[in-house]
Amino acid sequence: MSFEHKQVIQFPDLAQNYLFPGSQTDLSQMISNHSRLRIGGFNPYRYSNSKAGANFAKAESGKLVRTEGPPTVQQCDGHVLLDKLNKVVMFSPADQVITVEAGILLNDLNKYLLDSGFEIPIGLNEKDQEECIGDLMAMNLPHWNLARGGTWRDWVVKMRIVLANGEIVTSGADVVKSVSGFDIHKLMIGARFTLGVISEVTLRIKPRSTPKDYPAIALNHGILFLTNREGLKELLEYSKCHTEDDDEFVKHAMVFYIEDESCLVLTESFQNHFNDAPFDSAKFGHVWRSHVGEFALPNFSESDQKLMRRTKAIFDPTNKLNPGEFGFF
Amino acid sequence: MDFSTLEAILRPDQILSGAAASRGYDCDAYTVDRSKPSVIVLPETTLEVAAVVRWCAASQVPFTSRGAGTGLSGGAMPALGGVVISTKRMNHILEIDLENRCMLAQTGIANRRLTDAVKADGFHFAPDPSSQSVSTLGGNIGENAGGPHTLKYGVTVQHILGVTMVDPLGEILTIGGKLGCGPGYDFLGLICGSEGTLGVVTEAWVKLTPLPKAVTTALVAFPTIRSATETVAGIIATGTIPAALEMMDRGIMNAVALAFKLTFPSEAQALLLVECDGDDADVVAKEMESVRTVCESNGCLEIRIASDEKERANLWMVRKKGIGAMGRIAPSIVTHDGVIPRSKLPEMLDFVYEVAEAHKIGVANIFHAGDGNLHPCFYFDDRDPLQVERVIEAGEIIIKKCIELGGSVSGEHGIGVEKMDLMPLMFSPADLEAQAMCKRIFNDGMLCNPCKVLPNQRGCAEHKMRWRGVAT
Repeated sequence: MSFEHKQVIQFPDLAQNYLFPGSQTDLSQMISNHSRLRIGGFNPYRYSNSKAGANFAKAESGKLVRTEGPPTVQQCDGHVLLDKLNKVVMFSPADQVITVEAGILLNDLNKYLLDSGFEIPIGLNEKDQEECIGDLMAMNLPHWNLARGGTWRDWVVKMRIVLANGEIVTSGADVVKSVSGFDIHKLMIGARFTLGVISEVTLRIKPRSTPKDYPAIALNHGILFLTNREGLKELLEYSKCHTEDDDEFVKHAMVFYIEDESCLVLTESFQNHFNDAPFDSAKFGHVWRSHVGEFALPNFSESDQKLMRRTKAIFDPTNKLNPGEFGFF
Repeated sequence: MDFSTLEAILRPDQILSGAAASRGYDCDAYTVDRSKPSVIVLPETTLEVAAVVRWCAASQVPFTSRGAGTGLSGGAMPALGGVVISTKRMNHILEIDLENRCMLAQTGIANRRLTDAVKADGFHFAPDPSSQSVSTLGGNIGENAGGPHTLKYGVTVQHILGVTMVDPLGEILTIGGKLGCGPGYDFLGLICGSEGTLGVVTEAWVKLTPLPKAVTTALVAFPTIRSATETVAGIIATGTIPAALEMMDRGIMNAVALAFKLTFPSEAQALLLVECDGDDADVVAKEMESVRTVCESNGCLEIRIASDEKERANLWMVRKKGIGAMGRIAPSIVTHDGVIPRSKLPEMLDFVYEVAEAHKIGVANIFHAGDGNLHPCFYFDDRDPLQVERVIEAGEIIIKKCIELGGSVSGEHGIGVEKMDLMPLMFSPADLEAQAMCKRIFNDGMLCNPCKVLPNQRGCAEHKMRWRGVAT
């Protein structure tokens, strides 16, 4: 089964040559035949230089598009979008797994699973449910169900990846548990398509649970992070001071989920609305949470930088895939 | 090679050598392949590990890290000799943060001790391999260990927030931390399950999981293997995911009956141990009721439900002591490890018995049925080389069948040296080259736990026969 192809125009300020592979072989050829490619769809979590103010505006479609600020990626010969790779390849409720192409929208996937009583417990908001799962995995977005549902890494058991040389490789197996060498698929999650392009995944699925209500909180700058209880208390205080008179701010409120007060996960971000000093989350030992904003290499520890550079050099030595991402220029 | 220069790094009591010591470290719990180390070192800190690794790198001496040596695929066997870095003295808990539900520990600590340290506060470290009383946190990370409760709680990688490790050149790396990983490449995901080939993990932040408030355990007897295996898929299909769903066959029943005087219905050919847990007792009771309905519809003979903790421990005894009890039946046991989609369990179990019969070896099955993770236990006499040969051949046939049915070469024991040659059955040359690329991120050379996981590594082929004692 496949779903309707919903073509969207994204990143109007960047590459104009949109490429929509219809098969994994197409994707492989596209990657082989180009020297620099932007991969994947628009992601609103990349706020660019937030201190400079808003970088996004709403397009007619209702989606946010970049309007100013330095481009995250360099000019490319083409922009690959996975939208047409949207087939369900295999579904086995008794084995608790489903295999789908990476262009399927999370929303479509969860609708498909609804009748059989299963779900992917990645609790993204409504807007992000309309993104394809390949993009969502590449960004590894945090979500309100993180404490219980984990990240994509916890649900992907097998992946097909098109590497920078066009080679299609497989990692993992169609079973809920496997230790079979080095898990390339884990490395691809959150790698923003800089090491390879996710083309097909097998996901472990879980019985659908009853939705709960979660508290919400707003913050005035676009960061996501995990913090501890001390950080949480401070954060709550801080947010109270900044949420009263800005409708837009509340509208774009960050949502977080606290499981027994142990873990805070902010799951929606947006650009600055104020010129105030940002919340000093570093004070509370936070970690930047999952791929929000333009994290370039200098943001990482020295050893992380070294490993990242080495990884990029091994997997994409000519910097073909998403050049500029993570600061790989 | 002059190993005495290691004394500049460690105290004499931290260095073991000589024939007796080498023999004690020439294999892990996979005893088929063996190779003696020159020296065993017992560092106590990350800095000492780093100093030893730097010494190895400078001297071009291979090194292999080792926890308790309970691995079942030869991952801790020093394939090219050299130095074994034992973490047995790195067994301290460094910090417990209950408020934020995490703990920092050295990786030589036994898995069970992590839970023991926080149980009174209502927490546990969820991965629970059967060897948990001795197997170490480092070994669990290396093998991405599972256990009976994997079905609900996941494998080790899902419970590790960060690690401190020493890379193959002796540099200390910190990956993730108390609050998990930030953005960037998921090196932590890669390290968990890499079988100690990317470096030596010395400390880890682990997640602490609340103990469930309600637990119900049942032991269900079935007249046939097939009725039990069909029940497994039936339970999952109802949408109930038990905390544990384990299966034992008649061979295991006979062994535990002999060892512990347990009794089972005489016509029973298989047992399912089913555990449901959670915070809401009503929900847990409903789940067990649903399990009972599926069991009854598949013709079960008897359902024993534990009424208290003592009875629960008794029901678990069949599962936890099953392999140990096999020791009464034969002098040697090899426990295999393969995974299949659980809907294929009936077909696969039939195949296992056929293969055992064709190879004239005894087999008993005790395994994580909910995960489709088989552990056929072949029992034999390893003093007879022909029996050993048949056991190895039967094991390979079974793993090939697992792959043919859409499964995996290993569910939780890892590849080590045991299954390296089976990797090409599951992965293409391009897949394996991509895996080798992952290894090169950390390890350009051949010193860090060499000749493991990936087949056809340079310089390893000539050693294989020696491991098995074929060559001298």
